[in-house]
Amino acid sequence: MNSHEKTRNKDLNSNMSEVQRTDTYLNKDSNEMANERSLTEAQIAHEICDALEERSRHLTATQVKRLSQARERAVQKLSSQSPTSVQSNGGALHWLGHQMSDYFGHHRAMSSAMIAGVMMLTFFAAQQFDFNNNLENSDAFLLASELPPEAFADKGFDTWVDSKASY
Amino acid sequence: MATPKELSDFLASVERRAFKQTAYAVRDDHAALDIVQDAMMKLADKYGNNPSTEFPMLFQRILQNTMRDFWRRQKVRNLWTTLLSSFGGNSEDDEDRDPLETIDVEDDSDEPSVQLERSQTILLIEKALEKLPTRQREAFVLRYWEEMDVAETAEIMGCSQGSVKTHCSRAVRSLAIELEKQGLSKLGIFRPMVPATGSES
Amino acid sequence: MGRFKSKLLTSLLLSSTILIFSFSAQAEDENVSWAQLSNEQRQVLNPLASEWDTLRPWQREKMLSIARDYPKMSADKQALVQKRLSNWSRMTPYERENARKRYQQFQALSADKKSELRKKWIEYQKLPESERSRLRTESPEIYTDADLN
Repeated sequence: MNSHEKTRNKDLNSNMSEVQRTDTYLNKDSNEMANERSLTEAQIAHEICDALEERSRHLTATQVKRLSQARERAVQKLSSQSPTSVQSNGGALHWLGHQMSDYFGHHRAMSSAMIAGVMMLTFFAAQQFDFNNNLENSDAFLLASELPPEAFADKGFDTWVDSKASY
Repeated sequence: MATPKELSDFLASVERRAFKQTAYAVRDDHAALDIVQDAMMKLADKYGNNPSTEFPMLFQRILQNTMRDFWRRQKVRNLWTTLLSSFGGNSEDDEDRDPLETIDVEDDSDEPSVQLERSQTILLIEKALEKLPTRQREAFVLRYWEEMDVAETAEIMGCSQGSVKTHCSRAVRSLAIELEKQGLSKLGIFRPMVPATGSES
Repeated sequence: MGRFKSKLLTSLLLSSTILIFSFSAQAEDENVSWAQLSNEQRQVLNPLASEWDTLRPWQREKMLSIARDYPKMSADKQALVQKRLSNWSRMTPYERENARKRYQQFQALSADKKSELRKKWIEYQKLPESERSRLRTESPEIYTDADLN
């Protein structure tokens, strides 16, 4: 984290006038320009990210609490996993493959019925997919509606209409 | 291979950024918290036994995928139907809002006015970031905020290194233009920038 | 018997694999670059020219279907589509999805209620931005704590 900030500060202090100089060249595409541009790009980006980083340190108490609860749960999950059920590095897949082959070995009849079922399902899902694709009204009609899309997407509008409606 | 302590330390070091990054993408704090929680669980569940050095990449990839899943399966509260049945019905009360909700945890108080200005700047930056097209924001966040290199970013986003670079420079460019438009140069954060071509419509 | 079963199984697996592959191949086709669009498509989608190549495949697909339905519309509707397209593409997928659902609900309303909502939207826009953003953040969340586990 500390090295993080150090790099950024270094970038920050190094000649800012470059921003101005290179940007008028932004549309030229020679290689040196590209190099110089990426330097400037990185500087601007780092300034922006500094601000964002700063913002991310000021979360509400509830948010911080939720995050740490989530973290604790994840850590608990890891602690509770027995190392025998899942081996390291791609072990999960290996394990699954093993289980599947075991399963298929013992329940051939069952599994072919199952596969057939899955296949039918896939088929119907695919049909459905095609059907929806052809018949579904495109967003064109939404865009041409009496209300602009922002009205449909604006949560605040909902709330407001709702509150008006209740009095 | 990773110990629970390593996982815990890793998550603690990324969780706030992860939350904000998700919130900028989905523009909904609650959903963002859910998504981060999901991603944490998936990391622990599926990759908890990977070496902890692989966590940053894995976590970012999981996070991006979880956001995508979320967008696809998102169900919405059925407001227009409520509206239909109840012009005059009762609205949900928001009395159970947490009073802590508005309290900042940390407060490194500089001079109040400077701080105010800074927080306005940050607000503008956040707005500008939210406005970016998804892919551009994703590339920008991974490359510059998460400080991944181009190859790593490309791998996470599942695209070529060339398009990562394009996304990044487009992102920075429109951020700079947007912030300039908001008069941010006056706040002394950016030098004035003259866009080479006209700003976007 | 066992042999027959396993043959059956293999062929079933094979055919469903083919089915799945043919679908992903179809999806692949939707990933067209701006340069690959037809003139008509480019004309309709022109507001998106600069960002087209950054859109995800399924977004492109959605936008292409807008171009597909566009010729069926009256001139003033077409103008509306063009005007709103750029903002539309910049919404998050989540917002667009919300908008679609609400649009459908809106369509189901009576003409009276539609026009009432139109008036309300105009009224709403007159609120100061600070007020609107307060409303947005205060809007009751879709999630309850029970969903979080």
